[in-house]
Amino acid sequence: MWADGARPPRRLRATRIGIPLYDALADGVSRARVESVHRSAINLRIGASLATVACESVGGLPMGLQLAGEPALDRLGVKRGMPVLVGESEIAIPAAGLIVAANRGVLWSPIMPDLPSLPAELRSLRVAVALRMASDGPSIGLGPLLSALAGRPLAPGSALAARVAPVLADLVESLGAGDAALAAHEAHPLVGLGPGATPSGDDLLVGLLAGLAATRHPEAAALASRIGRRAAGRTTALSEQFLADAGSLRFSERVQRTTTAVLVGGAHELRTVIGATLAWGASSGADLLAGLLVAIGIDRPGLAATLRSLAAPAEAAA
Amino acid sequence: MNVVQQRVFRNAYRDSVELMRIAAEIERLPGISRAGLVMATPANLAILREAGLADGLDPTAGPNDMVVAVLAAEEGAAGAGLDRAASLMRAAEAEAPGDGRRFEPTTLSESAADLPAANLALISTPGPYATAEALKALKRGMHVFLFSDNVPIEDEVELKEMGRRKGLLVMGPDCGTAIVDGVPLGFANAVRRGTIGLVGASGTGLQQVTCLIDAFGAGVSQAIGVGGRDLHEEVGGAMMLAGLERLSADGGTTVVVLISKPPAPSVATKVLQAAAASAKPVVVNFLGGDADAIRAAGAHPATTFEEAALVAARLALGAEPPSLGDGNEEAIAVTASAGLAAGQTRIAGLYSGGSLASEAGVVLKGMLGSAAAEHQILDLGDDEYTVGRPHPMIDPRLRSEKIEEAGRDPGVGVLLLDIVLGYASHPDPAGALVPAIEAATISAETNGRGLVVVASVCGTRADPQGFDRQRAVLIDAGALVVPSNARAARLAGLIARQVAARGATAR
Repeated sequence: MWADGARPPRRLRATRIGIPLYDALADGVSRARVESVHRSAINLRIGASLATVACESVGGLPMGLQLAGEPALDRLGVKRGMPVLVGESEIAIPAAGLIVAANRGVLWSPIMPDLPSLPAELRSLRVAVALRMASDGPSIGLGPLLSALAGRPLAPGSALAARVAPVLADLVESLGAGDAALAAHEAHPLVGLGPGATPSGDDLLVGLLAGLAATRHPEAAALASRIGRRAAGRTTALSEQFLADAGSLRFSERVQRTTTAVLVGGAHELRTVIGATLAWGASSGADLLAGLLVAIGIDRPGLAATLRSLAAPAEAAA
Repeated sequence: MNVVQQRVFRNAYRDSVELMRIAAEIERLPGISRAGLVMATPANLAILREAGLADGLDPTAGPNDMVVAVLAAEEGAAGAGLDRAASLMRAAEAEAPGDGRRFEPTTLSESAADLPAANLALISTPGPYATAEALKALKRGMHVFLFSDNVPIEDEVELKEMGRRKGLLVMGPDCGTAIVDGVPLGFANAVRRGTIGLVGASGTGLQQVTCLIDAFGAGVSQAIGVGGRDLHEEVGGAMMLAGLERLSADGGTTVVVLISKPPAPSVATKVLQAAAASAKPVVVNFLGGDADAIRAAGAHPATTFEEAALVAARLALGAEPPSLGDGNEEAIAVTASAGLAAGQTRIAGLYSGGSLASEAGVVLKGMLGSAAAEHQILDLGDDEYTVGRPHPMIDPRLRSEKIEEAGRDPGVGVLLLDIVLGYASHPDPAGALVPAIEAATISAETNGRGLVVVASVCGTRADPQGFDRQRAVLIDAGALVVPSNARAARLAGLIARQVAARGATAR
């Protein structure tokens, strides 16, 4: 596999491996390509799926290999488009002289942990606390939506939040009516909406589905599978994979941690986790948190009306 | 009036903060009233449309592409805004070294990883680096097409020894031509596929024979180049023997053709022994070589490339191939020489193909004996002419200069040219020489002389330059165009002989 005289391959060791990726690797050797390279993650295109080799801080991913430590993955000579050989026990990027040994990785499940079922009032209370903690989040993406849900006026120039809010209102009402099909239809305009490698609308939907899954909402699975299916080709490759995972109610470790903290964490844990979540990407954490908190607090009286009131004037009139 | 322009950046990921920073900077530029940078997802494109920023947007932009759209007072401002955005995106990309750029293999290792099923490496590095790359390819189990020249002969021996041990072909160094499974490598022509397999230590020799096989209505299974030194004593014909062995065993080959300048005697013996052992008919063209020895080995000798192609086609087709022309060269020579002055006895053969130049030399020597030495046959692709400049099959400038020079030379009566078509050659080799041919002709006529231009076109009707068009260009320029290089050399020799005979009679 390696060139004669070339430097010996660099080996990185995976400490954890998502069960869906483990299953995919067990199918045997296949070819893949590097889709994108970031400081903490390398995304690999394997057929229709996107697998991720990520640093420890990224946490477990459904289609991910988690590495020990924080190697700067964008300094390893890996470039977009490089061929990748995917085997049962390792992933190799020969052109960069890199092998990721997967055989010692501990299996990690992306299924949302079985959290205690809380009464609606308690969930609403916890959401209110979380919103207060998150209301100083970023002013871009859907960050302004968090502060607006906490009772502050929507900041001027929050065009994306104003656009998303009435859509969310419709979604909340449809889910309340038990109509997952209609909700999926309403969610559709959010797919691929907004800036970034994971558009804000997508992050919001992942958070929404995580909240619905964690609270065992009766429409969670139906809505998730519809959104996951319909996202194909409508958003970025990375986001499409996250929505596909969410479509199967599979979530990354950090989404699980945030969800768990919101539902059952102590005050200190909740504050810490929300702070960490808001720091994800430019606005990804805030976007996800907005969806998560709307889902967990979906039974809050007047939620849909509040959301609708945040609409941009033209949309409110419509 | 406001204008809207966009630019699409394929597979470009940027985080939101960076996009906002870029958008803000663009909006500060004079004449720009709005800028939007979004991933081209349907949802984002809808927003761009609503904002009036999507008019004329490239419809192929997809969810993984970044769109930069600007609304500007005039086109210049819009263009400047998009250029600035591109520059900022590039700067950001440079800061993130791993991301955003399309992978292009730069080493054999990367290429092999990119295409794991590849079993042949085409190497065209400068000579000093070529051996190492070829060794790497061989160690990976790949056949090698080594276009590079200036590889020491001891390296060639080592490479070919390794190839022999591993059962791999080493085509080269300095291998200009091959056709492997129908795929042309280096300078090669679009020839019909068929059952004639060739091994050649001669680039343009292989081209001429394969093109004429095509013209005779037959086709080529494989054409294996081995480099011009393969039949030297030191190399021992290693790859000609390997190629012959392969073609003898190849189910798609019924006739084998071997092409080379005369080999070292010991090598000729080995090659002819191998030809004798082949179960298939073998046509051998060792330019100017010993036809009796070839015949004694049970092979079919051919003195020219045209004859090699004709014999091979006859064997492959089991019938007489169509004629390439009536061969009425004597009569043409008489007519053509009439315009030449008595002193114009010399031929200036200005060749782009080395093997074609050699063949011309052999033909003239066969016709004129020792008098052939009076004529000048130059291989302008030889190292002494190509230092620091491209090969004349690619760059016609040096040959044009030499043609004009010949026009000014009062002793030159015949200009003998080859025009080599095919992949990698000049897109219009005949047309590129016409100005020089016209200048040479005018120069001669101005000084009360004539100038006969004799040319052959080495190519097929499927070649990208257009075989018929190239012939027509030469004919329009006043050249006599004949079907093969051997015929061209013969016609040139006949004309020169006519002029010389006339001079002798006058004395």
